Amino acid sequence: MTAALMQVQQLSLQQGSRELVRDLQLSIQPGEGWIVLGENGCGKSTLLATLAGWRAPAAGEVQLAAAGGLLPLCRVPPAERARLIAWQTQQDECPFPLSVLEKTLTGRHPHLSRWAWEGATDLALAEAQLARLDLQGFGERDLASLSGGERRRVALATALTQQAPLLLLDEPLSQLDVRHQQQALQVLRAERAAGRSLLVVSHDPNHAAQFATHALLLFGDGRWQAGVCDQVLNTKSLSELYHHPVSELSQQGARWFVPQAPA
Amino acid sequence: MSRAAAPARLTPRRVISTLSVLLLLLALAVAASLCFGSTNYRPWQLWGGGAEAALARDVVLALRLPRTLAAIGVGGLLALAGTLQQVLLRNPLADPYILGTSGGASVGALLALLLGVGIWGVNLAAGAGALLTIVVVFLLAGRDQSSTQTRLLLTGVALAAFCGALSSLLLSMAPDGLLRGMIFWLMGDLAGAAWLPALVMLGLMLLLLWPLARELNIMGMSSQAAFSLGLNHTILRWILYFAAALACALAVTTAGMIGFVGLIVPHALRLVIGQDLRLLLPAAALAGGVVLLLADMLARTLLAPQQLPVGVVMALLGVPVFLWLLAQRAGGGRA
Repeated sequence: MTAALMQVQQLSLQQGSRELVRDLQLSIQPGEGWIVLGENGCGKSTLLATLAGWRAPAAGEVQLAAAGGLLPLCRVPPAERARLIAWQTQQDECPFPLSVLEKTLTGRHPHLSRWAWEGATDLALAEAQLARLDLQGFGERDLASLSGGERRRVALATALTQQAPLLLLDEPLSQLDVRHQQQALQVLRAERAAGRSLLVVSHDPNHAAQFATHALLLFGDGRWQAGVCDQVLNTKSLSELYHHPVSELSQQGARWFVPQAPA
Repeated sequence: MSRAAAPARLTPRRVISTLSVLLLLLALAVAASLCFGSTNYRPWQLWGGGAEAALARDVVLALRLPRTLAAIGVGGLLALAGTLQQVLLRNPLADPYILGTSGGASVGALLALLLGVGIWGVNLAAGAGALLTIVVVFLLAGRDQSSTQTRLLLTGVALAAFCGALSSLLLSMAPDGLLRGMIFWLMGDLAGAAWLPALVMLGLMLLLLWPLARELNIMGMSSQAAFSLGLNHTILRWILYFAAALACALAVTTAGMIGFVGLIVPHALRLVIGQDLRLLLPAAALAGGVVLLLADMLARTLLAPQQLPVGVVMALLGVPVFLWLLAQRAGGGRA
């Protein structure tokens, strides 16, 4: 077994006085794809923010495999952390007019020294990520002139341009139409195949089949369930997770989870 | 106003070419400022041995040149302070005058004048006043993430009004002997302003801040995005607090209260050259000098031989622009 990229030990998350997650144990290995599922407000974004180092955990520790070995996340220098973790947040407003290419190129910031400018390779990398998400030709467009879904794709392209071994993506597929969702899922699969690890928040358990090896269910009351997709994802756990009956359909060997219509 | 296409990506070559154009504009403005005034000279009238040429040289070198240099320094400092505050607050409408920073500086300076401490004390007090107002605005309203950011502007306006009241209070408490000097100083004028400290500080600040420009670019984005790109917020934020306060305080102690340079200049530049601070910082410093120089020429020539305070001219030009920008934002359009 290879060494873990990130180790989460006895992690507890709180929002106000409410305990969202209790004693979470997680080990993220290179090449693993994790899907994070749960109701609104169950702590998915809070978990990602904590794993990114933005929020301090209520208890427990997040460790990152840095140059100096497995270190507590808060002790990894910010620039090195940014080369190891890319974090796509749900909201990403920029008050200043910024072009799509400029935004995407910010992903190169952790890799550039103080005096360096984005060079041809950085440019090619950024443009390639935009093209993978069907955004070729958008480079000169003003970010503010894009639709919500297009802006989500630019944010994902920026995270990809960061070329970090661990990607924390907070609902990267929300606001995307069917075709672009499928395209983005394919990109996630390719990233995983390239050896990167993913932790992706989603509201559709069916996305798991396309990129995920593991699933993490957050029940919002401190309980959680983590493991290989086949073991964790079933009608019983999902019905309990969403407080709504979920049934399973089978089509051409693939499992599909669908909510039962209210009687 | 539609801006479907943002200006092209910044390259070192574009930085150099844009700054060259701005330097040329600055040189033209300097030439105009030296030649026009209560008496107009043509450049070649300054050379020559006659008494007339000697008088012309006297006027230009002793009166107009220091004033011109002061305008460049103060305008540059104000534009720089505005640009930095805009990054700090993530709001393109931030300006040292609107947010009460200049007001805080003048309260500090008036207090120091009243207590009779020396020129260093005045500068120090002005700096402390400016720093205090910036930190207060940031703490009270820096987290305002709404699209119009009304809370930020309201906080700044309230603080500016409070500083205005404090200034009046200090003036009403001042003994008659000091009052004249304090009022004269408060009105603010470029005539007889000390240009050297302003220009030196402007140059120093550009040298120190330019290497940080790419980080400041990132800082202008959402704070979580900036964090995930490895930015050290705390240190950068304090650098910006101090730099903006220092620039604003020195501008105020040099030339009194002058508003809207820090608003108009970066805003107009963003439309033309984009928001990349690697270019915007030096460009704003140069363009701020050009704009204040032009405003000062208007102030000197509009009602010549009478001279208007340059702060009045800037406010007459700046307020309509500010209101227009505000209306654009409120209407959902992006200016």
